Amino acid sequence: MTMAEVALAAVILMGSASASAQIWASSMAGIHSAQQRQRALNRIDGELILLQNHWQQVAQFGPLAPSCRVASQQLIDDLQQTPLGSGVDRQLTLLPEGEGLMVSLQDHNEPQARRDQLVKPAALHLCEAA
Amino acid sequence: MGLLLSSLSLQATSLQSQLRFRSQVQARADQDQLSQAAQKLVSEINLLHPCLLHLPEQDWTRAGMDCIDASRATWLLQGGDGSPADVHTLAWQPDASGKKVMLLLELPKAPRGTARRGLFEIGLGGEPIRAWSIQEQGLLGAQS
Repeated sequence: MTMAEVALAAVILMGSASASAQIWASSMAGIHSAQQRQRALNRIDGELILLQNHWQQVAQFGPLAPSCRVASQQLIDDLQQTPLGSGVDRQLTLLPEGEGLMVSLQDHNEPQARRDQLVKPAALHLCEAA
Repeated sequence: MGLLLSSLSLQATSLQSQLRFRSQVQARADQDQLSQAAQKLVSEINLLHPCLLHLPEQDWTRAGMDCIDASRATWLLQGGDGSPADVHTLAWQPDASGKKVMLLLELPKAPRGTARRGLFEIGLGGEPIRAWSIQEQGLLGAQS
C-alpha cells in the first residue's frame, strides 16, 4: 500500500467518522426533544384530567344556577381558583352566547401540547332551560 | 462503519419519535372535537329533549314521538346539517339500570381517510332524571 493510498483511506475514514458523529448528535438531540415533547403532552393530559374531575365534582354537588350563563360564569370563577401545574398555561373563555366555556391548556415550551375542552353547564345539569 | 450504522439507527428512532408525537397531537385534537360534540349533544338533550335520555338512538326518529320531531332528531344524530365535517352520533344506548348511557360518536373527516370514534359514559341521576356526568372512555381509531 502506497503512502497516497494510506492518506486517502485516512481521509475517507475521518470524513465518514465526522459525518456519523454529526448524524449521531442530531439524532440524539431529536430524541431528547421528542422526550421533552412527550412529557409536555403527558403534563397537559394530567392537568386536563384534574380539571375534568373537578368540574364533575362541582356538577355532582353544586347547586342549580338560575341560568346557564350564570352557571358558566360560576364554573369559570371556580376553575380559576384551582391550582395549575408549573409550565402550563390555562385559558378560560366564556362562549359568545354565554352558555358554556372553553377550557384551553397549553404547555409553555411546547405549543403543540394543547387541549381545548368545551364545558356546557347544561350537559352537567348545572342549569335548566329558562 | 459501526458508528455510521448506529447513527443511522438513532436517526430512524428520532424520526419515528417525531411521527409518533405528531399522531398523538392529532389524536388529542380529535378527542377534543369528539368531547365538544358530546357536551353539545348532552346539553341539548338535558335542556330540550330529556325524554331521549332513556331511549336508544334507533328510536329517536320513530314516528309519533312526543318530545321531539323526526327532523330535529335526525339533526341531533347527524350532529348538524349533515355537513361531512359534522360529528355523528352512532350509538346512544341506555343500560338496564337506567343510570348510565353509552354514547358513541364518530368524527368522519379525520386525515388520511380514517374515522375516529369516541366512547363516552353518560351518568344519569336526580329527579326529574337528567344527565350529570360525561366520562370519556377512549378514542377508537376506526377505519372508514
